[in-house]
Amino acid sequence: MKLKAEHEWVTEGYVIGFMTNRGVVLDLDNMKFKKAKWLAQKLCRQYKLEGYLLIKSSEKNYHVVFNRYLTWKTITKIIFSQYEALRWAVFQMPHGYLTLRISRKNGKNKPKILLKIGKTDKLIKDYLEVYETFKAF
Amino acid sequence: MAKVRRLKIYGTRRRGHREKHFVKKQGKYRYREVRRDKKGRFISVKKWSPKKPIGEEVFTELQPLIIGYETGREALEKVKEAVREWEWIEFEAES
Repeated sequence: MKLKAEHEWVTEGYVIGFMTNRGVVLDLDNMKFKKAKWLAQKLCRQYKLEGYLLIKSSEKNYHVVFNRYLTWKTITKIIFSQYEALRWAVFQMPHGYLTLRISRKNGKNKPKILLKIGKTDKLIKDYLEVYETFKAF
Repeated sequence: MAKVRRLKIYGTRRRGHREKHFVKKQGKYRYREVRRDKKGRFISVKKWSPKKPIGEEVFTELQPLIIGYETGREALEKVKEAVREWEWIEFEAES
């Protein structure tokens, strides 16, 4: 039986990822929309992250991009404070940056933007720029 | 100055495979590194010599390509170029 939390390798073609070490982005797997939204709202309020973008990457999988630019030390602190993002954080942290997919992968569609809350002038702007640029990928 | 931002391209990729090509004159380069798409259609060719040290041929998604960019348009051009340079192959995980 395939576990839900197992890493999904790229089996064909290539995938484009948005990389950052300047702000908090999260990959929330195996979660309902309601919980993903609650988590994003909670973090946004708790750490004054100015705003967030909620993206659906596939069924029951969501991405969150927070607007505020932060230091790597603060990013680490925020991400490791969340149990739901712990597994993802352990895989991402050694690289020194965080990555979110912005193109199709193994037949799965491109992530779809669901919600845009608060300010969108910093990291969210950077994300949206590449998201729009690579619309066809 | 604008801050350099980065994109990651990952997947399993390899350099073009080598084919021996017939040349009339006995020149230095009798081998060519040829790239073809999945259906075997020709993409590009470049010179290759057996004297050249053989580098790593296949890269997995754990060795991604990192693309630095300043504007969206620049990112698009660079990504298209990087994608064209490599042959993206199918990969099946053993476990």
